[in-house]
Amino acid sequence: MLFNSLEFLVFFIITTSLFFLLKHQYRWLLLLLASCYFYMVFKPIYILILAFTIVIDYFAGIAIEKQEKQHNKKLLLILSLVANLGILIVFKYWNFLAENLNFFIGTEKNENLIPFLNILLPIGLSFHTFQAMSYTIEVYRGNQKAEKHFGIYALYVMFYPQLVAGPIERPQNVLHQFHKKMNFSYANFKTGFILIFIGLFKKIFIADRLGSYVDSYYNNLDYLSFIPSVSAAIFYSLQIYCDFSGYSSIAIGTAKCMGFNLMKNFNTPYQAASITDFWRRWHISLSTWFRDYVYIPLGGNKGTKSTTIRNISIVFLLSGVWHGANWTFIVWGAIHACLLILEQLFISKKINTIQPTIWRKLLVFSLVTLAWIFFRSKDFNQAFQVLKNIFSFQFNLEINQISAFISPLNMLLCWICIPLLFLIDNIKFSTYRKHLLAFLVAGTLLIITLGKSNEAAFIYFQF
Amino acid sequence: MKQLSSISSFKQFCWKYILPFIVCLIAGLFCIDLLFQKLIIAKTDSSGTAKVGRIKTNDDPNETPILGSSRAEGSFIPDSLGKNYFNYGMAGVQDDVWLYFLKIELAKKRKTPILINIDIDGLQSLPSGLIYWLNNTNDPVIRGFIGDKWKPIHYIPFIRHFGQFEIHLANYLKERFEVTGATNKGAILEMKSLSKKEFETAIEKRKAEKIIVKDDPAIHDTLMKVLSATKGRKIIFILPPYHQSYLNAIQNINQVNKLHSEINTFPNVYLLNYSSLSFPDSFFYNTSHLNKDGAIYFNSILKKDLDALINAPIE
Repeated sequence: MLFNSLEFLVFFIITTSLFFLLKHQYRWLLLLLASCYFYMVFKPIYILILAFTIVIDYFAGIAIEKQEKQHNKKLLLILSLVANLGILIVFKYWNFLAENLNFFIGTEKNENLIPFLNILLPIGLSFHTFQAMSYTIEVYRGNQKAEKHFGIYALYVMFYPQLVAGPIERPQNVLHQFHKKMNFSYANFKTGFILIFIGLFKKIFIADRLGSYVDSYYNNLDYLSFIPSVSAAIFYSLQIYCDFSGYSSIAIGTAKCMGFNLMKNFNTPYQAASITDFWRRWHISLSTWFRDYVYIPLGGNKGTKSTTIRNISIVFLLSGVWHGANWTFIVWGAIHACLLILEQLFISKKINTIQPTIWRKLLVFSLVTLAWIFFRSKDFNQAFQVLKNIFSFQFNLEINQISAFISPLNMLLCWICIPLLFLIDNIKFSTYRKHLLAFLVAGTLLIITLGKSNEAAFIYFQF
Repeated sequence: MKQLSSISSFKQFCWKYILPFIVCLIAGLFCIDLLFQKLIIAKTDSSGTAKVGRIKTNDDPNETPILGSSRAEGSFIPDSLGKNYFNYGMAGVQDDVWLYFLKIELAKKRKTPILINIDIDGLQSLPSGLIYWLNNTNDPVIRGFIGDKWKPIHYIPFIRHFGQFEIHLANYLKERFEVTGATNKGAILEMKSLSKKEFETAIEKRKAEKIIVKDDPAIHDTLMKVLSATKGRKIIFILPPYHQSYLNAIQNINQVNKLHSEINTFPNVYLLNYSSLSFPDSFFYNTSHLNKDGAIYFNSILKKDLDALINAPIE
């Protein structure tokens, strides 16, 4: 079930109303059943994978807590991590690994030594696997008590607002909230409603519109020149941001309406003045996950230059792999690793001298945008074709070229989306309390009249 | 954010905030819908939605309708053919749609001929663009055209046009400014011409394709019944030019010829076949559609044949 569908609107109204009508002791059950239904709408059978990891991690958490010897705790943690990562590898990376290994070891006779699996990637697998892993790690570290209530633990992994695309929560932030009695609060509902509205606006009005241009560009890649190539690269940067931050906003807003607080996932990343700053603002729940569970345990930036380089490289290659089983994602991660190493270890002082800050922000945005080309392209040929289109500097001012063969009105609206996005990211709704109704009505009318109705899936669903 | 203690219940919240929001939203949607229907859709001749409305309501005794798909829309220029022609061609529709239009047209008291663009790849029926039909969803035939694209949202007044407003606005602007295409009484003439490289790629693609012409039996039978029941009004089927690569891809041209000879058996029905007329590449938008230059040239040829045919008595 997509957040940008009528079905979800009905689902949300029913679930939230029932949540407040039910007694506190039954609410976890309602949310768990609702989450199961929400997930099963995509592909019912994959609920079994979730159930498997939930059972493993639930018992692993209790067992880790009970063990007194550190060695046994570690062994149990490793078992739990292997189970989680095993599922992730089989469902997400098997065919990628098989393809590459077959390429390296394959001969003419036994080309497919490792068989391919004909399976679909369960939706949001990387998200809930990482969330489940953070639970056992935190229990192992002693930062979180093992959850004894199986239903509450299952809800921690399956809570429908963040089940399929995050934010990837930490048990310390969420688990205690499921035990707490939530009363209906106008303030919570208002905040939640505004967040849902912002998310829908970003997704339906901005991301899907920019996406239509980007898709048309990639479908006609061979025929397009500099202007549409640069436009498509910029639009994709904004599309992926609006798509994902829009999803996060709806997720956080949906939970907020019921009184639950989820962590912030984005903080105007394209206003970052350095790559380091960008990663503090982009997909915060994943960045901090890698920081807390990979980067810092590896030694962070406390050691020598070479260990810092190693640690940054590992984190960003893993981040690339996390996004998808394709070399283009790995290259995307590698580009960010290089930029970050360059910035943190070699040119940080020089970068800080670039004034005014807007130039630094534009530089960061340009670099991030170039890296996104690899993220968006299905293979290296496509990515290099885009780069070739950009750096050949061939200008063709024909209107069909500039609008990437879709309507010029669409292109015009795409460019209008940029100041609108700036506005929506920087507006403080609390200061416009009196005009909030007019603002929401106008925004909703804008979504209905000029939004895209194709119910496009969120980009991050595939991860 | 401060918690307002005065609003303690969900019910109060709904009355005070949700209800005004919904009321304002409905009022806003009503106004926008009205504005779009009256000022945008109704004033855009080339809009498919307007064409559906027009074919149902227009009773001008002198109008000569041109029916068909995108090939009709882009190949026939009403003002080049005569005074009272109107192009009802709609992009993305199949033969079931013009057949439906033909039935509506034949029910009128007009005596003018009816021009129909017939595609060479057989009589087909497929669900077509939702946007054309949303104003007429009470008609069961039209519901059939929508097929599985029908969603519960299309029951809700005003919101049912969600996602379609932009297309109407784009059509409206296209007709006013003629930046990407010229328009003329329902016709949309493609101004874009592919580069030599692009056209060569399209030809290569077409060469690799094998087109098997197939007639949907239900459409075929209905057409034959309609044609045999029609007396006193000329129906002229026209095949505008195709690129040679398209014609070469057709594997069973006999099937095409069979349909054409069946059509030719009716005394008031005529067939003008220009499909293999040799046109240069620069006259095509792609291998099956003419561009503006191609359409202008084609209409200059068609007009002479058409005038002679229309003025001749029914055999």
